[in-house]
Amino acid sequence: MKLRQLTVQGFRGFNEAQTVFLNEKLTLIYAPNSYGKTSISEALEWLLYKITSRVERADYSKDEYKDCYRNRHFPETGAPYVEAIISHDGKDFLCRAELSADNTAILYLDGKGIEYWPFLKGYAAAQKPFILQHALKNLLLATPDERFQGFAALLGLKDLDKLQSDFTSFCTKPEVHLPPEAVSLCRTAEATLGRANAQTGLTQITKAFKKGLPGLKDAFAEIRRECRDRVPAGTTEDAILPSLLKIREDATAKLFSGKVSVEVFEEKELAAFVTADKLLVTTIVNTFTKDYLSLAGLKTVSNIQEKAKFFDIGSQLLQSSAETCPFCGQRIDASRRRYIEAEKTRALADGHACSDLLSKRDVVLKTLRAVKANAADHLERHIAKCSSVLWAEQNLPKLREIFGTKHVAHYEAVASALPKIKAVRSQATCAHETVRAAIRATEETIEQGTHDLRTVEEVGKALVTLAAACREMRSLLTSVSPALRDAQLVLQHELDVLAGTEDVAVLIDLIEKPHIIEKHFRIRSMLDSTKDLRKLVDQTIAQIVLDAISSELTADVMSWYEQIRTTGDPDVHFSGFDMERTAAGTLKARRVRVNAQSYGKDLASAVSSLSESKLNALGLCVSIAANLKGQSPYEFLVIDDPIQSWDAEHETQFISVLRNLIERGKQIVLLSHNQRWLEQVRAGLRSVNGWYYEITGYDAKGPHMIQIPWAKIDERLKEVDAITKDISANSIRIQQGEEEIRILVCEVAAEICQKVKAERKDPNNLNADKVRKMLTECGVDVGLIDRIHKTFSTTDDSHHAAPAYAPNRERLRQYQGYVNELLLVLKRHNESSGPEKTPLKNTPSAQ
Amino acid sequence: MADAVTTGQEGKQKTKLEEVLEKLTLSADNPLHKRLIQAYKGSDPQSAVVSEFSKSVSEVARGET
Repeated sequence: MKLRQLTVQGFRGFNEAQTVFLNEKLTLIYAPNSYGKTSISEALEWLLYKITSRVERADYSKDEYKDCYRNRHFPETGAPYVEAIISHDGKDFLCRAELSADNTAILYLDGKGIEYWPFLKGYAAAQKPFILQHALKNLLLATPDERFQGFAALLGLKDLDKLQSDFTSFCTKPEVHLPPEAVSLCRTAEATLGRANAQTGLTQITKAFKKGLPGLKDAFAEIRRECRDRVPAGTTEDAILPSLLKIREDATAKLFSGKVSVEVFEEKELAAFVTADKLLVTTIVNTFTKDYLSLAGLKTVSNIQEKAKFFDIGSQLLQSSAETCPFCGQRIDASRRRYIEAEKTRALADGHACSDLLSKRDVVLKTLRAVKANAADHLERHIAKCSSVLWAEQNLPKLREIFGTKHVAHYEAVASALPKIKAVRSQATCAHETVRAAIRATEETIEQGTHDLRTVEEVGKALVTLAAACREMRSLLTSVSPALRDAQLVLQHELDVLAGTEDVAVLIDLIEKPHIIEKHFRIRSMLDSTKDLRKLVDQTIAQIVLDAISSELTADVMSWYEQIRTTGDPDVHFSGFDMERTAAGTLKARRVRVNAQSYGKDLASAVSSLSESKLNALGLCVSIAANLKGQSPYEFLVIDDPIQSWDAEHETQFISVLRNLIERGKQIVLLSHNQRWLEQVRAGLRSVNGWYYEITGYDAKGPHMIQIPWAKIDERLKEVDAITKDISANSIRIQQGEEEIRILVCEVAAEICQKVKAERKDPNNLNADKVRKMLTECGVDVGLIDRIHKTFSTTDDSHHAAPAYAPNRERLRQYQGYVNELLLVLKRHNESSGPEKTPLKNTPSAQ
Repeated sequence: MADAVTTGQEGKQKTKLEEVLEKLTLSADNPLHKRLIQAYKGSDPQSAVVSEFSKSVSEVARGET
């Protein structure tokens, strides 16, 4: 892909829109420092990559680069943009990037929004077609790691650079990535191994452990042997651990029995306790109260039942003596009998309803009993966690003696925890007593039929208090648990020391935790092995980079470097790339070495030995070589200020590098602050017929850019004249003459237009039809216009010859005559001299 | 913005990174290393490696391997 034109508005140094037309071979742009020259290359970079290398290098998150793309003078309501016509595969594409409010680039291809440029797809690793002065020395005069990154980027190996950095970072401290369960496991195992290590009687075991995972089998065999030495002969394998435990317990119990630790609440257990707390209270609050209230009807149950019984007996008696009351002897008439029967039926129905109520009472009482049992169980399970440590309260003086002055902190931890634990336990026990009393009171109201909702409320309140007390107990036990656990370990150790059972204790620990020990060694082995992984990645990538830099890149860079060096240069030069090596000869990771020689002798390094100008030249050559290497969609190269700190000879040498690049098909956009040198480039590459711009000023509107003719009309005429008269001129020379003619025609036609219509046309953008139209509008003789038109007949608008094209000296002479005629027209109009340099700004007609 | 550069190999399009990861996998003797190298993929490959390492260690800690 090549660039045809670039328009920039509101971006970096450009405020008002300006368009730069780019020659298909060479475009030179001159500007003094700070006149917006670099904004042009940055605009192109941003258009292609949505970020400039300056911002990319500086880390975009830095505040000082925030909002750096937008021109400060550009109206806030407008959207800055960069637009380019890019020629790709024989087609022109209008590519536009608009700066959004959040500083991102929104891309449009021929007016349609897109995510990425389709012609760059598959070329993410391709070298960017920008050689920027600030980047040249950065590549060489950088830290070793930055230099490696720079070369990796140049060689399209950025992914490998990242791969290596990622693995280095991971392998440097892999232990920080251990999951919590592994950390805890390793800590436990290390404590046991540490104690084993301190036992002089267990050296065979610790020796085997020191071999790591491979020594584990031997270590466990040694553990079994040591255990057998300590238990009675004939002890079976299964009985070894109980036997050791008994030996130890018998010995230490003589000094102290009991524990000073509390049982730890496991995470799941804590969650279950929280649920149980809630359940205790909700059982009472939700259904219980409603059921309890409904039992109020029980008060009348016995009356109802007696009434039903009375009517039932009466009814039966009335069957034998229907006219007289069996109880009072009163006479009973038919209406009274009906009344008695109705009452009997109602009393029986009420009796049935009462039996439902009685069932409900049973349920309520059962619930109360369940709540009572749950509350007791809840409390019991909390108390069980600390019962052993509370027992120790009676033996504090003995404990103090065992801990001694050495472990007084542990003793104090126990001594200070005990009253607190006792207090919360007492609080919980009291709360439980209140619950029991309230439940008892409620049961009594049910039994006595004296239902009182206040008793149920008391049960609820008591349960809430119990739940809170249990919660407080859990909180305290959890907070003191680590200190008490440590104290217990120290106590156990001191007891073992006093009882002479240290080795037995260690052996118990070892045979109780074989899986933990094994897992610990396996995890340790995994951690250790990351060193080998790092070495593997380092060596593999170092070798890939070495292959890339020492072969092709060195040869390519050398060939470009040879073109820049002059015959008068001292023989102190770059001599190739390499990777640094260790004393053993293995490659050092991320260490690119730049070699140099002085008259055949190796120097310490190019970076430390070469002059700044040579380093600059070397950086330039590396960038050029990288740009021509590998697959790339770019057929253009933007070079920004390449010749800093060079002498005149080297500046001249670089012109041949430019010619070489152009001959290889590269479209060059060269920006420089060195006007003299650009004049030299223009003269040296005269036949290239590129385009030349000068930025002559800068203000809030942006740079003032003008186009300067590549060559004067007289110079071109002389060139054509020389070709027509040179009988040895070959077809290439004659074709060059035709190109000169067409450039002359366009330039003279543009001049005529300027004189006649005061309209500036860009001669670089003219073709046969546009010239005809212009000349017609300027009143030029039709016959001359036809003849002029003929000069375009053998090539297309881009001066490319058709396949059947054959250079013809006679035809060139004819064309020369037509141009001379056109020059006479210009001469006639040229009575008043026009401006030689015309600003590009505000010239929409130039397109 | 665009895919990485690919190189043709046995009819498949592989990126340079994929080629190197494959080479590393073949060169690695340690199964854990193979596993970690193969985990290097996705938008955050470093985290993927760390995650795979933690997973491998967890399997050992839980006695799953």
